[in-house]
Amino acid sequence: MDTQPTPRSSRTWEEITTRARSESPPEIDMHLAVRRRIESGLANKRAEVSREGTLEGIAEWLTGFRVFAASCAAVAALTLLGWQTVPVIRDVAIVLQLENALLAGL
Amino acid sequence: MPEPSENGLSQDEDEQLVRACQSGSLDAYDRLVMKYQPAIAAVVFRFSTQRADLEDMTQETFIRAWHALPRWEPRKPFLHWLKRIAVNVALEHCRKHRRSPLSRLVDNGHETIQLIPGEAPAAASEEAQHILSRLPPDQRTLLTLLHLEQMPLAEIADHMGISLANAKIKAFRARNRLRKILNSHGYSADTPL
Repeated sequence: MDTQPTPRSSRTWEEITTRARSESPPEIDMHLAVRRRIESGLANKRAEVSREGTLEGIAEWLTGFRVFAASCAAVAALTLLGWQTVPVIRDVAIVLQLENALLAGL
Repeated sequence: MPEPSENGLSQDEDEQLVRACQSGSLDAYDRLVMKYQPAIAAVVFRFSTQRADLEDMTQETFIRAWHALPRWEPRKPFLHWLKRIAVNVALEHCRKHRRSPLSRLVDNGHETIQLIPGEAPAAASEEAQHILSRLPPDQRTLLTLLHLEQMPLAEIADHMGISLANAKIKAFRARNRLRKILNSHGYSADTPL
């Protein structure tokens, strides 16, 4: 397949850039759009702060709840431990009484 | 007597307006935007002649400048600082749009640029951007500022946040690549770059 030769341009890069430099952008005025975006950003920031306050409150409540739950678990564990050690203490007391009785008999 | 900046505002006036902006005055910022938007639009125009792109990049430059105001140092001219932000916005535009919008109008590699009816003529700018869009984004940005904005290489390096030595190397590579692009697209190879 024959490839078509690239057509040569009479323009040089220097000519293109010289002409380009003489071209100016259209007039635009972005100050209102910029101001709206800044104001919207500031408003969002204030909303985020109040949202953060609500979220912080929920987090604090959950933290408090976790502390309460941990305390209940500790009390339950101690109660269970105490419940299991009562028979042992009773036995030890009986042994001590018998020992005192024997010594008294001697 | 303080020397006026490019847009007639003295450096002292810029500093007063920026201080007012830093205190939260949007009216003061309106004044800065209205004074400097022609200069910023002229810079970003080198990267795209499409009105929507022009408006987007100009707007984005001033939004970023607003947020960066606490970092502006009064010893540096405000317009120079703004241009640095504009160059970074333009560089991101180049990364997002690796090919110019006119690429789809090119027919089989023949350089047929079709102007959209009703748009202000900027044929040479469109043609230059179309050619430069074939370069990697950082090389495109550098040569756009060098050839279309005629910015000194030291200033380009400062705006792009690179050393002058690095800018010279990038410029060398970019020129070589541009030469090949121009040759392959039928432009005169004799043009000095």
